[in-house]
Amino acid sequence: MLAFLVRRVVQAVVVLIGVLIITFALIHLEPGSPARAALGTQATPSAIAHFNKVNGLDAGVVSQFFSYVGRLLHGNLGYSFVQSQSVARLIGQALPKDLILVGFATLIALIIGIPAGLYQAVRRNTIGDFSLQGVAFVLYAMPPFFLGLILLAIFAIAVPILPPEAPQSTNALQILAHPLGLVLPTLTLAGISLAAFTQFMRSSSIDNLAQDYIRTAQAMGLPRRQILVRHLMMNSLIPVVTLLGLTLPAVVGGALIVEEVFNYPGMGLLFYHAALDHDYPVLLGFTLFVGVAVVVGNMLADIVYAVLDPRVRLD
Amino acid sequence: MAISSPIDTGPGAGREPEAGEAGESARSVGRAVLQTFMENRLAMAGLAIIVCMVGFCFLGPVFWHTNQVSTDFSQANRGPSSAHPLGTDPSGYDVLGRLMAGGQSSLEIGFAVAIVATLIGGTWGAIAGFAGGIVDAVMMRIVDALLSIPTLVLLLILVTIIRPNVGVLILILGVQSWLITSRLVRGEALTIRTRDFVAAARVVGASRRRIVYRHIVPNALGVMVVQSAFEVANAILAVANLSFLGLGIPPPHADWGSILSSGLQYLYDGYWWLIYPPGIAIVLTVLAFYSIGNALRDSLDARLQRR
Amino acid sequence: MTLLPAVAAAGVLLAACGAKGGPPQSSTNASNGPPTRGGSATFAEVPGDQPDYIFPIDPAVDQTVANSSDFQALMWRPLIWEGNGQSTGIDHTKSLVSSVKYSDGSKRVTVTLKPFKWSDGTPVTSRDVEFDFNLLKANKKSWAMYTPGDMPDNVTAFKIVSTHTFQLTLDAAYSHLWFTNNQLSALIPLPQHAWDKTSASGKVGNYDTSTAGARKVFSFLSHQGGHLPTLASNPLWKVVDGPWTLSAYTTGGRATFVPNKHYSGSDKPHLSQFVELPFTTDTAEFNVLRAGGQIDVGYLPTQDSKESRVLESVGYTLKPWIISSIWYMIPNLTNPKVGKVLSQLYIRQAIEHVVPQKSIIANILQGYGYPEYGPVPLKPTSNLVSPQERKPFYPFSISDAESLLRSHGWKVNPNGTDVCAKGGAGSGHCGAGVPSGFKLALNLLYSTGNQGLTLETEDVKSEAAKAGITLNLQGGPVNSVFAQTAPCPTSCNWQLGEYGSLTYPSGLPTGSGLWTKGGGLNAGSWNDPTTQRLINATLHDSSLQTFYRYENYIAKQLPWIWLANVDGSLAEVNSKLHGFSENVYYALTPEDWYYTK
Repeated sequence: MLAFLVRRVVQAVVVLIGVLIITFALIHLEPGSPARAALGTQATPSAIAHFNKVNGLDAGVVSQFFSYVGRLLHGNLGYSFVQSQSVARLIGQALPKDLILVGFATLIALIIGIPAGLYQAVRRNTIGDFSLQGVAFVLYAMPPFFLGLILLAIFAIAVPILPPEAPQSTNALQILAHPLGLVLPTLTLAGISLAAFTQFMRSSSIDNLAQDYIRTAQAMGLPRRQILVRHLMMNSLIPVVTLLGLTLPAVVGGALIVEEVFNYPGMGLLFYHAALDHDYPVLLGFTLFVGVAVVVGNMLADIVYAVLDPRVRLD
Repeated sequence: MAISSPIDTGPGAGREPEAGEAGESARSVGRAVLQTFMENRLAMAGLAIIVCMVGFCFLGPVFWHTNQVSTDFSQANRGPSSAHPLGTDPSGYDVLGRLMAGGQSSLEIGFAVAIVATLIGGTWGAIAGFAGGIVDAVMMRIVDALLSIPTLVLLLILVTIIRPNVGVLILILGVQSWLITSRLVRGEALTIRTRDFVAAARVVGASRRRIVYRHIVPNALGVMVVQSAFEVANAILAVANLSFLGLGIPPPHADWGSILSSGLQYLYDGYWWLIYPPGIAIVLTVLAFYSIGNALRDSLDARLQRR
Repeated sequence: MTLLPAVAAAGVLLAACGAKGGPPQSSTNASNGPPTRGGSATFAEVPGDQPDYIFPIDPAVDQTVANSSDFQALMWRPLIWEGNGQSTGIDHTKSLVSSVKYSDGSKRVTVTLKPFKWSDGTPVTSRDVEFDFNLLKANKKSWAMYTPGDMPDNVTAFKIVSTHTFQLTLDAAYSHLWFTNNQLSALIPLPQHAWDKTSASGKVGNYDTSTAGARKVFSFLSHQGGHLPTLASNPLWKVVDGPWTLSAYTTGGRATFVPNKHYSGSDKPHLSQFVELPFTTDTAEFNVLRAGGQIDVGYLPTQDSKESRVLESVGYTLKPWIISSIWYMIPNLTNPKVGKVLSQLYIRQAIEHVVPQKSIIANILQGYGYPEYGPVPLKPTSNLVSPQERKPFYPFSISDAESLLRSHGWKVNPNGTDVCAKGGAGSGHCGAGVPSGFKLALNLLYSTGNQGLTLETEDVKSEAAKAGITLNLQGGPVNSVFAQTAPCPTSCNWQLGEYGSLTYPSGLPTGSGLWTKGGGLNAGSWNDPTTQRLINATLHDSSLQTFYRYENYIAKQLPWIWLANVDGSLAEVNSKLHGFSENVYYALTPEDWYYTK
């Protein structure tokens, strides 16, 4: 296990460096100078020159990259071009909001999805299976902005029982203290991810149902519940775990569209505005974070995979 | 507690196929596909929906001529009438005609992305999963790296350099999709690799290539076919999301996503014909592909077990 | 999305929170009845434009409406307050000067201040103005409003005559209209007795009198000015001469103000609190507006303009907010492929002829817009609009466009693409650098953020096609479009660029910087000696006729294609809140607001 971890960490670092280089190159390919994007109609030539000087943009791309990496190694994520704050602080404000939102949504999707998937597998091709499939699919098939706006129109405007926007506080604890505003955005996100979890659980359960060991367990007279939970579920969780590993980047990267619809400035919107504003430091900081999340998520998924299914060797 | 009812483990299941018996080929996968549709009513319904959609979008304009190029703002946002059964949109275009034109784009992009994603991603993942070791590590780390790069940035760049058209969108979405497909297929390949019949094949002395072609690929093929159905659905949704963010193809082009997202701006104006028709079109089509994908997965799994 | 152009497309609302959550019972909207004291009002900020800088000398990055008009100006009054109610001109109540006199052939300006006091009791004096001036002089490169040659470069000497009077000696004779409205208005007296230091614990001194000292002071103040966690608590920012002080601020952009008890002006606040709320998007703001009860001054996104009736029932009154701005399309005259074609006046005239302003205003803008025939907007009404510019020089006419093209050697293909039949220079020919066979197809890069602009662009494309002018649309987010619509050699590939509007910041809407050589906004590289001469004249000559000459010339020369002007925003004001006025430069004046019973 230790060897595995060390190997993966080393690989992770390589990946992250690669990601940084590619992203750096990409954003410098964006046509138009960041000065003009940031300054808008204030972009007089002297303002542009000043902007470029202050932000080190008058150096060559390669030297800019090395300066960036140098600062990174000192723990400095840089300073936003456009917002008067450090990248670290901006991420520090936005990240907890998505941890809450996407975290809750994923949790809900799991709590509903795993038993639902199991049920669908055991009772497949019955009305119950089809209706659960139907509901999950319909929710998935609606683009998030569609689902979100419809929910909003119904529950916040037509029958005003919920607030029309997510909690506005920048403090995570205060957000949790006013959870009503989180209901609609969380439900929107959960609704969309529900289908993936139920279907994965279902299909992998069906897979495993056909395996010898289930029949053996039945033949041995083990209680149904034990078979279902201990054997079937645990083994069927494997692809779900892979899926969870895939959702970690979403937790970190935020849910752009839901954030936009419900006025919840999290990582998604932070990134989106940075991309539009050519705010390089924020873009790079965000990419780094997501990169770490992708790598860690994958690593965790592989570890859990191996734990759940000993036949899979860790290599 | 006694066992109440035995858990239904599937038709003729419970027998691990032996090496040599696993003579799956593309043809038998094809047979499995056909059988799926004949057995599963939901999949039949899905297929019917898709056929109707394709017909509606590609054949419809032959019977229902509308001008999808010139705007006519004096006719904007009219409700359904005899001249315009589904009313007009903010630029004065006939909505019914726009749905057809939009559907063409959405479906084209959907299919193309699915093909790209499945071919590239499926192959990549299968090789990685089967090979294991360093090859797997390197291939999957490349996937990790590419997944971390914000596609939005890529999109913003391309959108500003090139006028985004269907081809550009297919490229971008294809890149995004194949990465995820490869991850999933690799997971499957990992599982398959550890199955007894592969071990048995090895013991018997089957060459690596034989194992790949007669065991891995057919199984992976099944997964890829299934995945491709989902990819179409995902691509259609992805285009819709992009249009919502304003990064879609500029007018006078249309796709269901752009029609829906511009229509949603009028949610409170009560212009339901701008919202529900494209919304339903998207939902139905995605549903159809999903049902098909699901049914295919069931059927292929069952067949694989029955060997 | 932090640009003034984008801002012009949205609009700002002030919100007063009266009763929470319910439609008002009383339907009276008349402001009879004396203003009640107290109450709190909330204001919806424009998405992407939140206050994040408090020191009133903004670096270019922070020079936004949210910072200057909606934030700093509430606390530190400028010498000259531009915009009087809903008109152009100077608001004398809110200006800090009591008189401005020109002498010595307009080369000397003597300014007298009103007897104001800072919130700590110290009088506002000429020294405070000198302090601001010295800081600007030593740090002009870091100042958003700096253009080489203008303030502070055009002031050769600053002399304090008495505690309330100071004198500026100028490097040339300037137009009074221009210098007062465009230059003096940029000066803001700053509390020298509290801010003239180089560190938080340091002592106050006269550091600003030396360039090195002024640099240190500026560096200290600007660093503090952007330090968000302390904006509301830093004692520096408590020393104000305006009607409000900042009592709370969150880094998300939510700002809470309370009245400055020691405000010397006559326009003292009636409200006891004023709050600005941030929003991520127009839709988010609109949803909250519709739910009612949380926003007192918000805005209606243009595509939802029909919802105004519904909002009335929720307790709002619609007030179209006209801003001094222009909407346009810029031709890139130095584009390697089409620059020569666009440099032909008749081509630009033809393009102007295919812009259907009337139908755009009626059908797309739902009447919330007005025509635009030149560089000076027709609204808000002012005597700066020349009699000639009140009528279009190039009214909408496809046939006029076609005949212009035909008479210059083009083969017109309606609904196709026109082709040049007689290339090269000469009368009746397409023009120098335009060869035979050249197709009149142009790429139009436009910003997709504003629904009204998007539809307007589609409409223009559609009408242009009828005359055979093919416009290939390429949409993008506003910042990207703006970043690309830059003068060659920064960015040469664009052909026609459209990012929204330009708001005239104050006073005289000269073309300086817009159509002058090397001007920051001269994206199309307009380079014309007559323009240069005429603009120069407006800076030095106070006569209105000089200004009209410049205006008519530009209106006819079409360095930019004039598009239908869109109302700045549709403000939705709580019907119980009175005193809201739509200042034409976006200035926010919550001190004038009040509730009636």
